[in-house]
Amino acid sequence: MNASNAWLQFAIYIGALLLITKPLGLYLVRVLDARGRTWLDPVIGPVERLTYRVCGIDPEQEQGWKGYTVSLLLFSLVGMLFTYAILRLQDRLPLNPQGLAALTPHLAFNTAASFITNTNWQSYGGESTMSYFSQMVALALHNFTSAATGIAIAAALVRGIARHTAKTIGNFWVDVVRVSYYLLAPICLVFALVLVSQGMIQNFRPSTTAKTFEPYTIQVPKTDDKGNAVNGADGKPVMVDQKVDTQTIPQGPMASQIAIKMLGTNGGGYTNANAAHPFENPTPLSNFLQILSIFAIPSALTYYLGRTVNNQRHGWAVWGAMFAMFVAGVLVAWKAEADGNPIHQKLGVAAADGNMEGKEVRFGIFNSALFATITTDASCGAVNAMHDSFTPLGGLVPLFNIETGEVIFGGVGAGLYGMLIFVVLAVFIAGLMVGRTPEYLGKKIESYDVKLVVLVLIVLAGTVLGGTAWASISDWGLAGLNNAGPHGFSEILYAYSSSVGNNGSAFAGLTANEPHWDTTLALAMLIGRFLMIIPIMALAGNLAGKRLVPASVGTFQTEGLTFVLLLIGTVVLVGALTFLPALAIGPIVEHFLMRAGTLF
Amino acid sequence: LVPNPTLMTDIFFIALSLAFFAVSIAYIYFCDKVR
Repeated sequence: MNASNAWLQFAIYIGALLLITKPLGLYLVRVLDARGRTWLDPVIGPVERLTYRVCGIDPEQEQGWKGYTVSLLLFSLVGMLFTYAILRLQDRLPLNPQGLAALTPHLAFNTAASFITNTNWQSYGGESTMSYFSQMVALALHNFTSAATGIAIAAALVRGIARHTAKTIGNFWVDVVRVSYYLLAPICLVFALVLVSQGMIQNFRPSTTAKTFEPYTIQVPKTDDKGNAVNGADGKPVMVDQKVDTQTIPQGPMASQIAIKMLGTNGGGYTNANAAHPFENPTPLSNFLQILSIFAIPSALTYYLGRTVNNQRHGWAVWGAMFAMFVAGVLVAWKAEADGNPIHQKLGVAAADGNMEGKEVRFGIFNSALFATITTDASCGAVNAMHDSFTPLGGLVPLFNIETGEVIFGGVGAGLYGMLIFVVLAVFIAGLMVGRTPEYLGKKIESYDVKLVVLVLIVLAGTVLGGTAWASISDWGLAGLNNAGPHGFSEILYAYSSSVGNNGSAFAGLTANEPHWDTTLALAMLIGRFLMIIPIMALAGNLAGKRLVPASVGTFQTEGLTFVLLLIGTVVLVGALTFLPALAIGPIVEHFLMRAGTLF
Repeated sequence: LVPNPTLMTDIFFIALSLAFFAVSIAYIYFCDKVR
């Protein structure tokens, strides 16, 4: 692809994102208001009211922050146990034409934690591990509920900011029901059909076995009559040749899962190759729509913020800060991948476009760099290229995006509430600079608010760096690596960053499906989701109860270029100060070693 | 940590899930008390 074509695609993407932000934001205002009217009311209204009746929910009854948070935790706990049970009983449940076995306990635990936290980290290959029942009932269902939960939390925080002298911040059950029924389900219904029109599969057929055009030979471990590996005199497995002349082509209900996978910034692939698989991402249009859907709701939520706090310029300022960081990330990743690998170039084996290792040739350099940046700006984690094969600086971009807390548009809901944490911190820093009590939209930011913000940031940094350190000095941690040196370290750092950030993408050289990795990464996902949400909800409750103070000449304006720059500086500096030492011994040193002629 | 997929390992992971959410509920009260 030539550069002008890539720039044109980038411009179309930005234009389309801008175009949907306001209308979808206005729609969100109605959906996130328990009494809001939408054009879907005649169809969905009766189902919504029936749900409340059956579940015993009083939609008029709002909750304080503690009640809201306890509801959220109980909802997630039930979801986790439900998912664990399905995955452990998969072999006894229907819609399993391949006769796939039940998941091991540690993999079921990891996967349950992964999907209730909106992470979708996958220690397994979807098409060879999950039955259609598991894909639909355990995984796709949680793609909806975890996304709805994230949006509900963002709405609760925005209400906390917008209200004054209030004791409540909304009703968790109403928010989740309305987001699922009025927002996610209708859009996904249409989106799935569009994806089918592009060639994505949606069926219940068993996998297809096809004869390959070119048989080839691989080496596999020799096994005895009982299927056990045979070891030689040196204690290593004896390898034998095996001719491969057939291919198993996956089938199943893919489109229905991929629509919410992208719109809900979940990212868990139906297949192991994720959006690089021709069924899971069949055409350039499907690729464009998938990356547009990742940012659609997070972008619209900034408009919802502006409308709800009655300051649309503030909403656009937050959008502007996110947008500037997004563009910077795309340009760095694109440049790094287009420059390619100097060692390959010296050997004369480099592709003309740049670093094509681990990339789907249909998408090339630009669309791989764009997808990688978007999927890690948001907490999506779907991939159309293997991040592990990016150049060191190209791989640094997704890693750093995750380590900012995924606030560059971010996950559905999670991006906005994460960014609002940085907004409060930025306002606090600005207040310190001029020696005034900081204010945010008419509320004084006091020590308790800042303590809660710091609790959020400590959980992120402590869990990522603590988990990375533990795995880096453990036999089990090192055993999972596919690469030595700084690249191996990057694989570990990426795994914990991705888990705590609830992203789910990976430097896929890491083999993580073993008990230690599965368990520690699952705990990292749970901590990264719920122990960050709790102080955020406390902040929402505290802000809701504050009195408004009138603006004065000393009030720091939370709109305009100065605020945008301060916000970007806060996000980048907190990310840089926290993670730069780790990045220095991972991708940064790997970059310099690559320039000096060493690869890992 | 858990070498075999047995009933005991299932109980371990279910207990771990319950323990995490119990700690989370305790954390709500911690966040309330740090003011």
